[in-house]
Amino acid sequence: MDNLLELAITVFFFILFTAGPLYFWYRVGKHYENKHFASIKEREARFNNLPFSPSDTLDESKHVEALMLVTGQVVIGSDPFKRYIASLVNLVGGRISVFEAPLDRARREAILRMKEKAAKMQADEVINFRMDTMSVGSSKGGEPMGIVEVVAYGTAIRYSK
Amino acid sequence: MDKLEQKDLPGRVILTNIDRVPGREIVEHYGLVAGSTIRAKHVGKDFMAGLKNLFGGELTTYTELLNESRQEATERMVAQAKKKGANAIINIRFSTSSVAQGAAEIYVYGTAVKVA
Repeated sequence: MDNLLELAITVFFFILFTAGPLYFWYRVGKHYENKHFASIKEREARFNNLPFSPSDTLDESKHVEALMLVTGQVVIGSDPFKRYIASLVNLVGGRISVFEAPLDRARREAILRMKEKAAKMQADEVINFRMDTMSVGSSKGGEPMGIVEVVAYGTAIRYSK
Repeated sequence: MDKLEQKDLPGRVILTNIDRVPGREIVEHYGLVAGSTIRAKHVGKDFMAGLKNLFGGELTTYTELLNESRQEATERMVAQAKKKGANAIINIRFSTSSVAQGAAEIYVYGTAVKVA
């Protein structure tokens, strides 16, 4: 009877202090992530007709009217659920799939911001596209913070019509 | 008119990350120009970012901070190029590194040239 009571107390405290909060942060993180992804998809569809490529070749048959360096940058963090899971996976090693979504978000958002600037100058394409990723504030005791900064940049080109 | 018509405005430095300026000829090379800044996070802003990180979204304060630093680094690079008498900077690259907890270094470099 005593053992059963002990077990019940353990389970109760596990739910109260570990599983409960984790589930809560999982829902919260998921909610904001889905919202952001929906917004990204909507904007990506809008900029579909603006091509960008990592090569630096441009259409030689057309006359370049204007060019400009365009950049897009974003810093994205991860919710406590993701950080907790990542710190667990870190112990044994392996694929940390929880951090894939924030990185995907950051990359796509940075590209979108770059494209927004290019669209502002009525660019026809973005060439020599480059992307740089930096982890922010990860030096703290080695615990994964999951904050990344992504900068996307390229040369926006407008051809004369 | 703002930055858009860079190419047509006198006194404006053309910035590009390709290795030439389309439609123009490079007449002179001035070598490497670079600009850098090291910024630390604001205490209050850092606190807010810490709160915001609970929801796993974009950390707007950090984005702004890095945005400003990148602009400042670019301005320094442009100033250096202007001093040399260049009117364009080609092959621009950005590089970022976090040098200490809460501080980031932004380094921008390129080749200063004169185009005709």
